[in-house]
Order: sequence, then structure tokens, then C-alpha cells
Amino acid sequence: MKIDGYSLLATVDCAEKPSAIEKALRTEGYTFGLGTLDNETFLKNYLHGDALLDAHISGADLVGLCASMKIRLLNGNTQRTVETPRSAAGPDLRFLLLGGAGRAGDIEELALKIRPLPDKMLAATYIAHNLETAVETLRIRVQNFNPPAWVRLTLLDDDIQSDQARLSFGFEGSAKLCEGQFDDFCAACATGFTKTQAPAGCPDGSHNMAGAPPLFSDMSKTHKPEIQIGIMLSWECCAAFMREMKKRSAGIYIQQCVLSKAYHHAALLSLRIYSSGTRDWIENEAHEISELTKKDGGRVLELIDLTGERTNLKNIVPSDPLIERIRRVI
Amino acid sequence: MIINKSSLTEAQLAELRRIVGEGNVNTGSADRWALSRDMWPKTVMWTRHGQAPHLPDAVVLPSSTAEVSAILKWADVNRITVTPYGAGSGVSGGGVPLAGGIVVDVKRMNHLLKIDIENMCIDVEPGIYGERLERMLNAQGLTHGHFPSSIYCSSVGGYVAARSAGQASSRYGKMEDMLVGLEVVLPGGEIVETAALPSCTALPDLNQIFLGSEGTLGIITRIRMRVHTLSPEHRYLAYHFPGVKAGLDAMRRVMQAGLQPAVLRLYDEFDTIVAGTHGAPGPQEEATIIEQRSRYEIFVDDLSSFMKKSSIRPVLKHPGLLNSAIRRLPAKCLLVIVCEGDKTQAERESRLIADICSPLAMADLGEGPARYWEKHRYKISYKQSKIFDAGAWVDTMEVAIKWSEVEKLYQAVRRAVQNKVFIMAHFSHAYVDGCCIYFSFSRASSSQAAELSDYDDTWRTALRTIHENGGTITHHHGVGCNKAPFIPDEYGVLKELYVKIKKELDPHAIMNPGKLMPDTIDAKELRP
Repeated sequence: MKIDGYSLLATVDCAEKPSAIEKALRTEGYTFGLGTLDNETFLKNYLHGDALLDAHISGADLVGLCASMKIRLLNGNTQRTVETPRSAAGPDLRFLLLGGAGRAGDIEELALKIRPLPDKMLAATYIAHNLETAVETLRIRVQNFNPPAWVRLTLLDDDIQSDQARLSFGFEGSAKLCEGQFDDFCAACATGFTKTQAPAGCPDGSHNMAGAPPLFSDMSKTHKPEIQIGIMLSWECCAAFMREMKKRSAGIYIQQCVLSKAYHHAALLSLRIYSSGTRDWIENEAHEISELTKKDGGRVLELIDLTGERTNLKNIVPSDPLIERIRRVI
Repeated sequence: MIINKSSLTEAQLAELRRIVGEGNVNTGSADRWALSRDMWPKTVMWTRHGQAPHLPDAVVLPSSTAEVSAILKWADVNRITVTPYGAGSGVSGGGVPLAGGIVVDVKRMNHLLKIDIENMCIDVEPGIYGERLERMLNAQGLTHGHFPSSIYCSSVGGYVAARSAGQASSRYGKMEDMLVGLEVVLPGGEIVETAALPSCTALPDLNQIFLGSEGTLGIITRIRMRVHTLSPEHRYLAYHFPGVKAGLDAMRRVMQAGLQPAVLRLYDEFDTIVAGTHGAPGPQEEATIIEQRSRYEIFVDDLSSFMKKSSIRPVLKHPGLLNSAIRRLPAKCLLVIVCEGDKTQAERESRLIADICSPLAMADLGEGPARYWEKHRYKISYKQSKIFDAGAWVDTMEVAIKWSEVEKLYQAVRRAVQNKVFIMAHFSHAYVDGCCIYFSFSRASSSQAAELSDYDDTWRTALRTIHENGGTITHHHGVGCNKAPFIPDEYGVLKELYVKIKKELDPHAIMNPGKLMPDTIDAKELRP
């Protein structure tokens, strides 16, 4: 790994695992700030596949952290793209190689944007009196340049009638900035929320640099994890969709639904479905959730079969006809 | 200037009129000449030389996506080349119809279609001008946050087509950050929409393929982009730094601390004098600073004042001498900073920036220079014609590179062209990992023929130097035909991917030929 501490860039081998890269960066006093769901997956798989990376820093994702690439095309030609923060030299063709499952070429190296290990990490959990308040507060903070480094928003699941929601968030960075941004966010939660004393993040910050907790609590001892779905929705649909998910699962199956990433105009919901008995209905449920997403103008970004046995999950992640057309020719 | 008759047949023109209406197909000399050029300085030279080498056969003004679709279907069937045209403010020749054909001017498609307050997005048509859109949004307490110096004469479609950046990009981002989704008409007339939701997976992002495509893959007919609440508070700061290196270091530290000032602009020594330190400091401090000025500084002040007058031409005939004089200036570079947001955010940000800048700066200039800059922020786009009037030519070049190479690239480009043009620069559009260098250069050539060859020679030398030093040849002006010959070097083997997409989407190569990449027509041959 080559680190340019002045430009905050690290050139990394895509055959490495993100967890190994992060570990090596930390020994040098840096981080790339992304957690992964799976410590065994190679960086290349994230770049070539459709897998979501977990907690993030201020809306960044792996694609956004990629400053340049070394690419090997199928004919063997290699190319390192210009290492520049931005360019107006035509379309950004790197985006054709990402997610292409290696069909257009192989991404061998990345210049990854990194950051110094933060001086400070702060996290809090609030209980919102209703879901709309929580979604609205989060939306407004993000749209007003106050995005947390990570966020977890869920409906409380202990009571089917309850509309209360748990909002956990964390900030990180230089001490003064982190404290200021954290205070701003907490001030926005002064009305309509009750602050809890529960620890919000991972105490040892091991899951990712910002100390975000895992997306889902571990229920695998009592229930079988079946599928996981990532859904992007515009803000106005989030609360109703989350409530609908809770209603659908009530008394029938176990579902965790977490608003886990917040963008200017949309949010990502991560769903995990567990079963405790018969599992025949799971595939139908996935298709129905996909249809509901479509109806709300949303986008299913990811579907992971956690059993590795299912065969009827195609078309749940819809493909764009134009992307397919372009993929065919490159 | 002799302008030939349109080569389109009466039947072809009749079909176009049927699509867009009788009055919206122009074949008159004035219209065809006006839309045969944009603000690329070479097109200004052509005009001043009485030339119009790339006239379109007709200018067509659609008013809807359906009309654009019908036009492109017609053009594809008839193998007529199409040059999309917005406000015509491009400075790289992207709007020049190199192969004739029709110019599709989208100025009638200039509506703000929808404001989505909850998702803080708007839908607009491509022909709406940036300044008009900003006024419409301001009336609703909103801003689009995109403030190019051409804002009065540039359109949103152009911003997307050329990956534009505005003066407040450190806070609001570049066009690729602002864009949410697009409607595009492909050659042949098919209408496609890109996903208007973020993809945090590594799925290919179609927005990134149409952004910067400069009309070579289709015509953008609808844009969904972010908007923001108008900032209630602004804070202004300005400093003098002992040279470019120290100023760049301050900029880098600000961005890498996670701060997002709306404006962060560093001027090199001569550009500092041109930008001025108006408004600050107070009278007593001003007197001290004047006393401290060296003979060279006074000389350059006088020179810049001299250049602003009519006798510019003799001075610019000897760029090497002028650059040499500038190099001997005492190092003093102006950094202007504007922070905005709510009161808490703006105050906190300006305080943290002051903590970073104060120990590195040679003087704290207070608010004045940044306020002055803001007041005059759009004037620069209208100064070029005065230099042309004075018998010289002028152009700008915006490149970008990572922080560790910025100063090296700045010096390399200056060295490479120092005997060809008078050159100065400022540094803006800062990011965590690098920034943009914005060069301005000028020369008075000995003849009209020499003007064109000096111009090409300067660009060739500069662009080659940029690639040799690892930078990108354009940060936000785009490629057009000016930089097209250098794009194969920039893309390397990735050029193959673009050519494959181009052939798939535009099999008859009707869309803006010769632009971006000399893929269908050799742009070198087309350049007069």
C-alpha cells in the first residue's frame, strides 16, 4: 500500500480485503472510514458486484472514495486513470467498470481517499415520539449540511401499535468540529424526542471508524436469517414504507428494517428477514416488497440470499435496460 | 462575410417546420452565423477575422422533449449531423457545428417544472439560464448553489453537458454532485431516464456517462437537481500568504479538516494584484502595507493599471519579459474565504478556518477583500472582449490535480508557456484530495495568422505539460473541440469504452461530431 498523506490518498491492491486495508491504514494513523458486512470479501468483489458497504462517513460510499483506478481491459491493455479530485474530460468511464462483474475489465488497484484517524467520536440515541418526527429531523439535518457519520433509525419493535422510533447517530472528526456538529444534531432532537442513556455505538469502534453499531442485531441463535434487501427511497416515502414493513411482518415473521444511510434527497432502508419455521413464503415476500418499492418510486439496490439456496429471486433487483444495453457492448 | 445558402432541401426544412412550428426553423444568415460559434476564444478570433468556417444549415428551436425526439429521429434517418446548443457560453468550442447540419437550440425549453421541497430537488428544462433559475428559487427561500462566473449567460443543460463548477463548489459541489437524474433523448429519438435515486452500490451510474458528454450521446431534455435552503448567514475572511505554497497549504488544511466553506480562492502573486485587496484593511493598516511594497510591486501595479488601459498590445507582445518581471515580485498571495449556513454553522466554520489560516498567513485582511470579491464575482466573464478590442487575445485554462502535485503542476505550466503568453492563476474548487488551478493567459500576436497559430501552440504546449505532470486537462470547462485531440491521452485505453458506447447509442455518428474525442471525425483536420 502506498500512502500520500499530503493528498490523503492510499493506493491499494483490489485483491485485498477492506478489513485488511483498514487495519494497515490504522497502523499509519489513517482510515478509509467504511465498515463491511463481511470481513472475508475482497475489495474487488465490492467494486465488481452490487454489494452494499455498511456504515459510512457523511454519505460517502466506496465509489465516492475512489480517486482513481488501475484497470485491465479484457484485451489485456492496462490503464491508470488520472489521479485528480475532479475532471470535466467527458463522461466518467470508471463508472462503466464498477458493478460490471468484470465484464468490461478488471479493476486492479484503487487510489482510495483516506482520512486521519479522528480526534473525537460522539454518538447518541434518542427515542422519537413518532416515526415521522425522526425521519423529518434526520432529513432536515442532512439537507442542512449536518449529516452524521453514521445513522440507525428503526421503529421500536416491542409493541405492534407503537409508532415510536429509535434514532442513533454518530459524528467523528477533529474535536471542535465534531462537537459542534454533534451539538447541532442533538439540539434538533430537543423537541419530540427523549434522550436515552443507552450506548449508541460500538464501544470499541471496531465495526467501523465512526464506531457505528452493526446494522442488525444478531438473532441467528433463535431464528434463521433468510434474505437481506437494500432499498433506496425518496424521503417522503420512508416513514410509510417502514411502517408498512412492520405491519407486514407482525406475527408472521421476524423482520428488521433499519434506515441506515441518509442522502440529500433519499435514504437507504436495510431489511433482514428471519424465519422460525416454514420458509416457502419468503421468496413471494421478497417479490412483494420489491413491488411495493417500485410503487413508491423506490429502487431495490441489493438482495442477498443469506441461505445461498434460493433460485427464484431474479428480477428483484431491477436492471436498467440502457445499462444492460451498454454492458452488452463494452 | 459571405454565408452560403443552407444545403438542406426544401422538403427537409418543411419536415423540420412540421415538427417544431413554422417560426422555429431558422435558415437566415444572422441566425446561422450566431449559432456557428460559442465563447471559445478561437471563435472570437474567427469573427474578428471575418470568418465563419462552420456554419450550420439550420437552427431548430424545439419546445418539448417530444419535439427533440422527433428532430433526432428525423436527423438519424436523414443522416444530418446535430449540434445541441444551450446559451452558447462554452469556452472550448463544444457548440461549434464542425460538420454543419442542424443546431438544436434548447432556449425555448427554459422552464422550472417542479420544486420538490421535501426532497429538496427541482426539475428544470435544459435551456433555463442559471441566474434566472437562481432568482426564481430565491423567491422561494432556496438556492441551487451553482454560481459560475458565466451565470448570466449560461444554461443548466450546459452545466450538465460540460460538468460545470460554480464559485461555491466547496460547499455545494460540482455539477456531478448536484445532479440527481436526467431525461435524455438518444439519437434516433428514444427517450430515456436515468435513475433519480442514489446508488450506494457499485452499479454503473448512467448520470456519470451523460454528465460531460457534451451532446455527443444525446440531448438532455430534463434535469433533476438538488436545491438548498438559502443560507441566512455569511462570514467573510481574507489573508495574505507568503507565496503560493503557503496559501495552498492553508487551503488543503481547511478542506482536510472536514470544513466546507462556500468559497476558498487563492490568487497567485500577479492575480492577487489584479484581484486587489479592496475594502480592507483599515486606512492606517493600508498605509503600512503600501509602505512595505517593493519597487517591483509598484511596477506591477502600474503595469496592471497600464494594461487595463488601451496600450495593452505593446506590453503583451513580450510575454516573456512580463512573466520575468512578475516572477521577481515579493511573494504575497491573497486567499478569500466565504462561509455560510445558519448562524451557528457559519460562525463555527469561520472560527475554525481562522484557527488554521492565522498561524500560516502574513496578514489578516479582515472581511473587505472577500466582500469585494463577492460583489464583483461575475464581472470577469465580461472583461475578455476589452482585451480583444485592444488587439490581444486571452483565454483561461482550468486543470486539476491532487494536493501533493498542485504547486509542481502550476510551476511546470508557467515554465512551459512563459515565452508564449503572459500567464497568471488562481486556485479554487478545493477538495479533500486536491484542487483546481485556473490559469488566465494573454498575448498580442504579430498578425491574424500568427494569432491562430500562437493560440494553438500555447494550448498544445500547456495540455502536454499537464499530462506529463499527471493532471487532468479540464476541471469544469469541458473538452469541446479545443481539447479533443488530447482526450485519447487522458483516457488511454478507456477510450475504447467510450467509442463502443458512442457506436451503440449513435451508430450513424450524427451527434456533435468532432467533439470530446475525435472518434467519428478527425477533429484535428476540422480545426481551421
